[in-house]
Amino acid sequence: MSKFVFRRLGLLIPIFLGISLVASLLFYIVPGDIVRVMLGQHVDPLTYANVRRALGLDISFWQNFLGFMHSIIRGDLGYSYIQQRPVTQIILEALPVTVKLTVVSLCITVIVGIPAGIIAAVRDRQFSGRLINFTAVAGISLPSFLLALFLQLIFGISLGWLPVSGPGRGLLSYILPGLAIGLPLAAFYAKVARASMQEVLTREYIVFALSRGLPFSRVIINHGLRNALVPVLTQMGMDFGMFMTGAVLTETIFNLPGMGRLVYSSINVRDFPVLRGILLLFALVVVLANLLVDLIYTKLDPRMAAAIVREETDVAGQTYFKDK
Amino acid sequence: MRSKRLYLLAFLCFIILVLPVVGCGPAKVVSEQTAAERLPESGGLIRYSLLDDPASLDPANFSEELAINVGKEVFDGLVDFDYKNNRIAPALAEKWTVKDNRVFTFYLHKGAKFHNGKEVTAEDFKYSFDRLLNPKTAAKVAWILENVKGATDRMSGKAKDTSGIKVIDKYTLEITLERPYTGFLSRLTHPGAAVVDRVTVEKAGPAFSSTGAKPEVLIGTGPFKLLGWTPKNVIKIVRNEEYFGRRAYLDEVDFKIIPDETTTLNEFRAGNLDIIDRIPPGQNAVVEKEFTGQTLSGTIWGIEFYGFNMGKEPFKSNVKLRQALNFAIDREGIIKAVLEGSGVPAKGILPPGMAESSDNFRGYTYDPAKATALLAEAGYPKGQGLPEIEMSYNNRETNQKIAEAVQAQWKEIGFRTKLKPLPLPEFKREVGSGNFSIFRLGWVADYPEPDSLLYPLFSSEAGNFFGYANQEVDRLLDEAQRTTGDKDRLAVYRQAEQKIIDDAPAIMMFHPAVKYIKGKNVSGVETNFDGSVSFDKIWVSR
Repeated sequence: MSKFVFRRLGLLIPIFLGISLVASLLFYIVPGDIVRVMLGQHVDPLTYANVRRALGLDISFWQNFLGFMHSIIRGDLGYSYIQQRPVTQIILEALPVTVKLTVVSLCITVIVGIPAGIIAAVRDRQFSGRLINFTAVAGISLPSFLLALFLQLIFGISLGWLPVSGPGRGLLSYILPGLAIGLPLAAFYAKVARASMQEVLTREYIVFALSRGLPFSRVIINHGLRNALVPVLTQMGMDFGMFMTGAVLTETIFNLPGMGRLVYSSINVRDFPVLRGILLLFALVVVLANLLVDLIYTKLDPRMAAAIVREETDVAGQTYFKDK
Repeated sequence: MRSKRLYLLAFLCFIILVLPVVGCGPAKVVSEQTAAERLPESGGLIRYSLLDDPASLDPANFSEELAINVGKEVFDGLVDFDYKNNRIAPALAEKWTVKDNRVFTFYLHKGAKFHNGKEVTAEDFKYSFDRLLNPKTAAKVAWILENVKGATDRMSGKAKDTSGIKVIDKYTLEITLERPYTGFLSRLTHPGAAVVDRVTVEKAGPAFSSTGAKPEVLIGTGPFKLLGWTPKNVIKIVRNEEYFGRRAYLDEVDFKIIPDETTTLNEFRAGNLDIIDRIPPGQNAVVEKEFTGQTLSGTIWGIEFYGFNMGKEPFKSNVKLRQALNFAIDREGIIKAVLEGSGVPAKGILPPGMAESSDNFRGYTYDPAKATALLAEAGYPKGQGLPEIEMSYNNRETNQKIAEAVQAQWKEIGFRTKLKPLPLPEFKREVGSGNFSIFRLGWVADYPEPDSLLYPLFSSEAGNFFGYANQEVDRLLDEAQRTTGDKDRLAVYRQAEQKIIDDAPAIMMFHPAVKYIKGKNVSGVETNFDGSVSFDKIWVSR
């Protein structure tokens, strides 16, 4: 098992190299004149040249790339020329905001979405099941930003229960944005969980468990849920990476200075050093999240662990290595 | 039966959730005492929103509105601009003398102190000004001092210091210019020409210029000092009790970073902001109604225009074509429809306030018949023979709408265009490289002097954007820069302006406006020529 983990982590090296190369190319291939943007309306040639030199925009691609490799080895992601401070510092300011928002949204998604999906599957023919199914369809069609604006108007301005925007009030600040992201996603997860559960319910072991006289709720939770969760978890692993890239619209509406806003503003001002750092971080997150999901699989379904072991012992040349 | 009841319940829930939203609409009646009835009170806090963090609060980087908004409260220069009386006012320089319009001697306010307690001396100014020109600083506002003797040598790294800046004694500073220039004092009112403390700046290194710089690093002399700066969140400044001039009324000003206009307005509605200046597009009327008596607006000393590429056909040698396109635009209609009335149609280039327009000034009015006739005279009857021409602009929502309106109005006379919206960096590159046909640009006066609009945009010596060159205009602008009497100088500028307008290298659209909404207890809010407000004049009543 540890070999598997190491091999997955080893994958990070070529990924990092590739991303660094492409991200460093950005400096040279993306059109646009960032010096002019920084100078504002008043541009004279001497100032233009001085600023360009001061920002290190006159160095060659290889100098740029190798310099970055060198700083990465020292655990440093470079220096933002717009903000005039280390990229690591900038990312470390935005990351906690996004992590908190991700955790709150995921909690809402899991707490609302999965039970709703299970109930919808179990009570498929009843009114409550249909209502959940209908609400889920409606929820999926509801854009996050619209929900965000409604939530802000109702709970922030009219009722005044929760902060309108801004990260200043601890966990309270994350409830509305968490709902705005979490609820439409919960609707989606409810659909996934429902479909998965419905399929599981037709399996023989469920019928067998029921015929053994076990209580219905126990059969659903112990026998059904465990198996029904596998597709849900796969989805979640993929979404997690997406979550960490931040939700630009929601972060903007609720004024949360997270990764989404950082990416957006860095693209706007062409702050390539920051973008390069973020790209590396995202690669790390996606690889780790998928690894984590794989490890959880083995807990949910021991056959998966066997598959991993088999994969490790495969003869070289026969690549059964499938990244999920 | 049961399901029917459930539907009813769901519907009721929906009504309960949505009603409060409807209830919070406009139509609030505001009864407000007028500001004049109140006397300034000391104390209190103002929360104001900024679109984003300034990239830096180092005066050398005061090339953007965001930085100036905050920076002008923390830093001071030699002189200031008194917008109300339209004159240069003393700041850290108590008084000054001018010899031959070329040698400026400044006598500093004795006892004025930096936020760290050190006294401000002429040496500090020499250092600060030389720092702006030092190529290693790469100051974005080095242009402020470009006329100082030896500035070019200093900026290109040929000289070790600036020969035109001399310390006479502890409190006297002498600045000599390369050649006589009346606008120099006006340039010095720019917040970038501020004094910084050498020891602090050199000790801090790059930390002085970085986003989120610390209060112990950002040392100025201004009416407020920095309390803290949390990037993407808030910048807090507090009153400087040791200020050499009139102390500010407010205890504290919080600049909250809120990128979204709608969120800003919602925060204001919820009582979490005291002054805002960004109204979401299309909300002007709603806001006026909702906050009657709480709004104020001002015209910015600037100009928005569409420039022609004067180095390329078909515009290069065809003044009639350029004039025809000028007559085809209904400026007032566009301001009304797109900007909700916020803006002043441009007759010439200089905005009202900077220079009152005279009756005999010839500008362009909306006259489609004349436009059609001129287009025919230009050799393109009904636009025949003209290719589809690209219009480049920065892809902001308002710019897009204005461009669409202009495109439609030009189409009426037969002039066909293709819209080319670009992200800001690409747009700047295109304009900088001169690789465009028609481009849209907004220009705000950097300093309160006609020179700040006319010279960089239309003098061929300044390397203007569109490759416009008229020797007579160059001569007049040059003459104006040397003319001392305010009235005489303005007359020369007016002459130059008329010549430019007749040449029509651009379509002057409008002078932009700014609108503020303030809390009911906020007084003393006055807009400056650049659209900013001075927080040291604001007070709150409790």
